[in-house]
Amino acid sequence: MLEVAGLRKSFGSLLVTDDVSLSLAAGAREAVIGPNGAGKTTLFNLLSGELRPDAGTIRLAGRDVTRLPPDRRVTAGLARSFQRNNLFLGMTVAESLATAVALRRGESRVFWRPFAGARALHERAARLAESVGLAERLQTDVRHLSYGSQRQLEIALALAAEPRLLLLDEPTAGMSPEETKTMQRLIAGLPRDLTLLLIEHDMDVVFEMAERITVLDYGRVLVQGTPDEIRRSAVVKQIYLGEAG
Amino acid sequence: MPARDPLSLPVLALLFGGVLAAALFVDAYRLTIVIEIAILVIFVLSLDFLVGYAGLVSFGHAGFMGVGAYALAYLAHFQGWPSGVAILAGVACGALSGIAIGALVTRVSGVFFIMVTLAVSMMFWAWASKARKFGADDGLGGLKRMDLKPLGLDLNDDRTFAVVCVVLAVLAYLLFRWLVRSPFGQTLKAIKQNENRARALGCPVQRYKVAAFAIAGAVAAFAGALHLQNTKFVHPEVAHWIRSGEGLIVVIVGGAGTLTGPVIGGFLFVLFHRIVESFTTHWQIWMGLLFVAIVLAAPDGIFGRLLSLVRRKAPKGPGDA
Ligand SMILES: Nc1ncnc2c1ncn2[C@@H]1O[C@H](COP(=O)(O)OP(=O)(O)OP(=O)(O)O)[C@@H](O)[C@H]1O
Ligand SMILES: [Mg+2]
Repeated sequence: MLEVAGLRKSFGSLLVTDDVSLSLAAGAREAVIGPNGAGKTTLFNLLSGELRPDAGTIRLAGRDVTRLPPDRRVTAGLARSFQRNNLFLGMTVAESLATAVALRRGESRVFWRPFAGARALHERAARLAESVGLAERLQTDVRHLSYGSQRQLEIALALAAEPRLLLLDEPTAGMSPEETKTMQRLIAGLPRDLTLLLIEHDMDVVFEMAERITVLDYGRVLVQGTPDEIRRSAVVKQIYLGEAG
Repeated sequence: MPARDPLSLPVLALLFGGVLAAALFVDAYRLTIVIEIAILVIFVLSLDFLVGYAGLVSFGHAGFMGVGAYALAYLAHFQGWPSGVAILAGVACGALSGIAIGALVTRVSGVFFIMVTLAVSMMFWAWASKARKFGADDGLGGLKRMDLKPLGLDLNDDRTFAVVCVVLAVLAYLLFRWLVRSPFGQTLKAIKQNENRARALGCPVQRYKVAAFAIAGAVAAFAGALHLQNTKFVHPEVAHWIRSGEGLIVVIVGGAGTLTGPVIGGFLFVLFHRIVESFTTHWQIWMGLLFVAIVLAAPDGIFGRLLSLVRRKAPKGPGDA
């Protein structure tokens, strides 16, 4: 589903992505971990097209998307959520999701019918809200949602794009233990044919969700392996787990 | 966002109704005010569509008025086209230049965007000021109004012309209302609120911006053609940057991102202009001061302010957390 080879990106003299290669089979569930500033989000920005790599290639379902802009990658089946909530603050939850659904279905071009009357869009939006636990919040202004609910909406928006490859950037960041559990259940319940790449600091979440883990440090891939291998790895203990406590 | 707006209907009924009544009953001098209001309202609605809905703060919108006016002058006066057809062709030129300029300027952002929109419209103005064929900076008179006699309308009668202009302003309002409430309009709002997120949801942002420019350009060109029909005279002033700036003032003072706001703004701007003008030649200074005062007191514009006052009083609906 995703083939990344020799990806490189620097900001000025700072090398943030250093020869990163990754390979995810369809339906794989993998995680990227690493200390703060390791270049995890930058890697996602490269994958989603928000940043252009200096070198390397990205193939999505066999197709070279290295030069495609972000919106075309979404059409090609990739969607992402953001580490920092990145939402439509002037809309309600229902409007945000229905807007995302309209984009997914190519109905965002429709200018001859009212948006509010588009039943199919709003029904799908309601189902998405329900799937992330926002059913009660449909008519709430996004700006008035609690932080945790905004995180849920962040995921629901990405799901609205009906991706084949989903990139989640720290979905549980800043959440209470209870909210984290809910999010964990939500991720576990995603369709099995959805390929998932997850950045996460919460090791419980990572070890439970991921079949394979990539450890980044200073932009380089330190190790790749199964959760067990990562747990046993001395380098990882020293550089990452040691720090995390 | 369509939530709880009990104000638009009464306000618009009052303003459009008032202007229409004025068109029917006032004297010849005041008729010119009515016509000016109607044309300005069409212009600022199209600008608000760009600024308030698509988030594209253009400083050169009057350039499209120029395109509509000069295309009409050229086709009707020199090519002998019937005015109605020439107006439609002018609107098409407005849409095409909207596409061209949109494709150019949406590649840059922030202050560069502002500079490029300004620069392109000034290029048009500079061309018009030198165009001998159109009387250069003296302008060109002797143009004709559209012949609607088959419909029983004599547009050379200023009262009839004023009524037609007011009706067209109402139609322009309805057109934009229809557009901003569609999924297309909703997508523009999404782009304005968070372009990066819209793109991450698969939105080809650039294309939507170009489409917004095409629509706004077409309607502004129509306002330009109507302006020419009013004065029967084409002059580079129609595309001058001061006009673009005034348009922005009207949109912002009235309330960008609402359609009622610019209607209020256009109405007040023309009245204020005419009243202050009769006391002093420095009316623009007073306009500037008033603009600053209003923006300080009501950052969302007059209508935005009114709406938030009403909403604060209104009981919160279910689902409001
Ligand atoms: N646009 C940018 N311009 C310059 N430097 C950047 C930019 N984006 C990220 N960086 C730098 O690149 C490095 C990696 O940042 P990145 O956000 O990818 O880290 P991360 O692994 O996601 O960290 P965290 O765990 O804190 O989210 C950091 O040193 C950061 O300051
Ligand atoms: Mg990060």
